[in-house]
Amino acid sequence: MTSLVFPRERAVLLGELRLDRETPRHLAMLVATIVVCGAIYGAVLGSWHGARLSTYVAIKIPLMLLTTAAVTSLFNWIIAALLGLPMRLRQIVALTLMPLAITAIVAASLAPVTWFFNASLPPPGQSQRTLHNLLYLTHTLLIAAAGLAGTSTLRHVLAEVCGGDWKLATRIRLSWIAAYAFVGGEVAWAMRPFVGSVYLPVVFLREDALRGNVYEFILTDILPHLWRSL
Amino acid sequence: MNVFRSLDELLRRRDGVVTAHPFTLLIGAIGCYVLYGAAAGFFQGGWSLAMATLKVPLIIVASLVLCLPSLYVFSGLGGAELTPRAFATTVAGFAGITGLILLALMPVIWLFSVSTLSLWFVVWLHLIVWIIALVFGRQFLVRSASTARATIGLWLFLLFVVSLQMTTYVRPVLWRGGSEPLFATEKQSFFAHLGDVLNWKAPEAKKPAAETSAPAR
Repeated sequence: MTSLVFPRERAVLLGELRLDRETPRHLAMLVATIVVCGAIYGAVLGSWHGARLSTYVAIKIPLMLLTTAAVTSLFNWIIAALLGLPMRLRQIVALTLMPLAITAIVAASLAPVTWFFNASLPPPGQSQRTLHNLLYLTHTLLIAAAGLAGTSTLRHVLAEVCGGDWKLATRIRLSWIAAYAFVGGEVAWAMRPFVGSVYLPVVFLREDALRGNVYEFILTDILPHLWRSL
Repeated sequence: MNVFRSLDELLRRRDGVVTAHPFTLLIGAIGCYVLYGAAAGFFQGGWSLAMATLKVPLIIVASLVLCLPSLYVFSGLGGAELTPRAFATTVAGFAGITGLILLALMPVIWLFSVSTLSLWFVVWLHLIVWIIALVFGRQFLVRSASTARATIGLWLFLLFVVSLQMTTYVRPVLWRGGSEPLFATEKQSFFAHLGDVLNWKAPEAKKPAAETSAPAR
């Protein structure tokens, strides 16, 4: 884990990945980091609704991150090759996993704070809609901040693997971040609930998980509602 | 004696390099928090003095403990390569600096606590003092981990929010009603708690003499 957090150790890891040295071992370390750190944050995130949702979310957060990596890896590999960074697929998978693993580490480091807020706030109930919305917004911001921290390391990571070609690194980085955000948003939407609704029962996945997507929801529900309210 | 010397070192060293033992610094910081809490307790006086003396260090130390993992990760991602010992010294130094600022402002807090009638006024005063302490604490953190300037700012905001919720969690701190328990059992968010503070009405014991005694003829 420290090899992802501290720049000097990260540089060693990147050096090995660039040369495709010990890549399977690094892949295993990245997946393990996502599973462990994601589960820690997930357990705390779902705990506002009790042990059942806590267990579900402890499974779903690593799953969400790994699914995002699985769905984006192929695109990342092809786009990197097209832009001038020919690497093996497994190297690109490792580089795709790296920001997500850092996201999971940042989220796990926030777990004590999240736990404290969940433990000290009133329990869920139909009268707690405002609190639910506030918690939802807070967690979204926390995950977004953790994601930002994770993807911001791509700047240096890609510059190093591109041999100091910052222009190429920036083009690849922006394409990858767009893929993460576009896919990650939909994967998170399909895997809801995370915080848990104050009206609906606790479930692992909603029945309508794969009916519609988050962008449709924003365009056909959220934006028209806001437009009418203004 | 070592405690005073280590706090003195914090004041004199401008480069963020501290040689004092982290534990000594932490003891000194807690001592400062205790004194600040005692001064804050003068708002109600009596048993409230002991309550604030106990709860102010509890709020700050517990908030700091909850935010330690994020400080470690944030500073690492920001580029600071701190060894566990250096990290402990940095945290203890930060606690020491915030403690010293609170100690420096303790007479001001005492003066306003004994003379103020409104709870919301003293609450805002404590918030401002805490922000000042955090600003000075930030300077120390930035000197110790200069590459992690941006992430340290984010972390301080997190610590500030956590300390607000911690204060709500261990309430009452400054004023305790006659039948109120030492720790409130009802869960509440700090937003709702701040709302309660705004609606707080001074009881008879806190009102000025002209309002509570019969008008002089």
